[in-house]
Amino acid sequence: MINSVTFYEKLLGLKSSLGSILVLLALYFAAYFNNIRLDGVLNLHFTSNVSHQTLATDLSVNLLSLALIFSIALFLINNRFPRLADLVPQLLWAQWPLIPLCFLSFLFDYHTVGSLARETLSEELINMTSSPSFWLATLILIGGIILNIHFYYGLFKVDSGLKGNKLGWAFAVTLFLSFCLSTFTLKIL
Amino acid sequence: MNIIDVKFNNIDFKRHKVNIFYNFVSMNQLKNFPSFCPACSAKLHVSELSCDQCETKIQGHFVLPQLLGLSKPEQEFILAFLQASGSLKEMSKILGFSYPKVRNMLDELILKVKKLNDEKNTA
Repeated sequence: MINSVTFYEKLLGLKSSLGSILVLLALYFAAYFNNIRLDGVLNLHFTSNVSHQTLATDLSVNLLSLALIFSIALFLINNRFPRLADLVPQLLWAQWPLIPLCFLSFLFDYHTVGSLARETLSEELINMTSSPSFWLATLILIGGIILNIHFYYGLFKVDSGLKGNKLGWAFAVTLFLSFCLSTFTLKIL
Repeated sequence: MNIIDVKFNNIDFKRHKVNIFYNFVSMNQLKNFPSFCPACSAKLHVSELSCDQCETKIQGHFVLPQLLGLSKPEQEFILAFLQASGSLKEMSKILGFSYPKVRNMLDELILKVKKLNDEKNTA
């Protein structure tokens, strides 16, 4: 697996900022053209249609939730707020594993997933779960989300300077709170 | 060896001795100054100082400066920090590390210097 800690240790300057904008644009367009909703941190859902407004709201709320919770956590750990000029590009870079996941819609179309949500015990569900492409897509999704978490972990480790068990617990709580805040906010909106 | 041979042709004997000493230092300047004992890792102290000019020797128990209580990379970090006029942004460019990493390195160094200060005060 890619060493996310080394990646974030070496991430600096204008290149990192420009790169993070490219990651954001790539994620935005990949999600838009493949009808993906990013309705919460670590959430990725295949839908029938996604508008620019929905996608922009999703990405903004996710980024704001992450920036807010990570800033508070880092303030509590280091007694100072992190610089947003570093934190925002770092958070955007951490989302690159979601870009290839958007293209799984080719394996795993929204009609099947939509029927699964409506009628969980339908015949379609049985057909879907027995297809190898469903399991392949599910495995790739899990791998991609783990890679996404791995990058958030690297970011948190570099920014907090924590080590050992303390790092693990602080990171788990921070990510969980970011997940809850973003999901809850998007549900209200 | 060539440098030393050339210096052997110096006319002044005293000067020649000094030159050999300096060449020895320059040839070995990449060596780290030992602050800790290689056998038991205890802190070292200076027991003898000598003048290269008149060869006067002073013996005693001299404590090493606080800066030498730090490791080589830590000393280099302090020098880079001075060169960057205390700007962490500049430091991150010099060292090739991100700003948060440099900030954490500085925090660790501050803690270590405080610890060394406390040890010095209690000793």
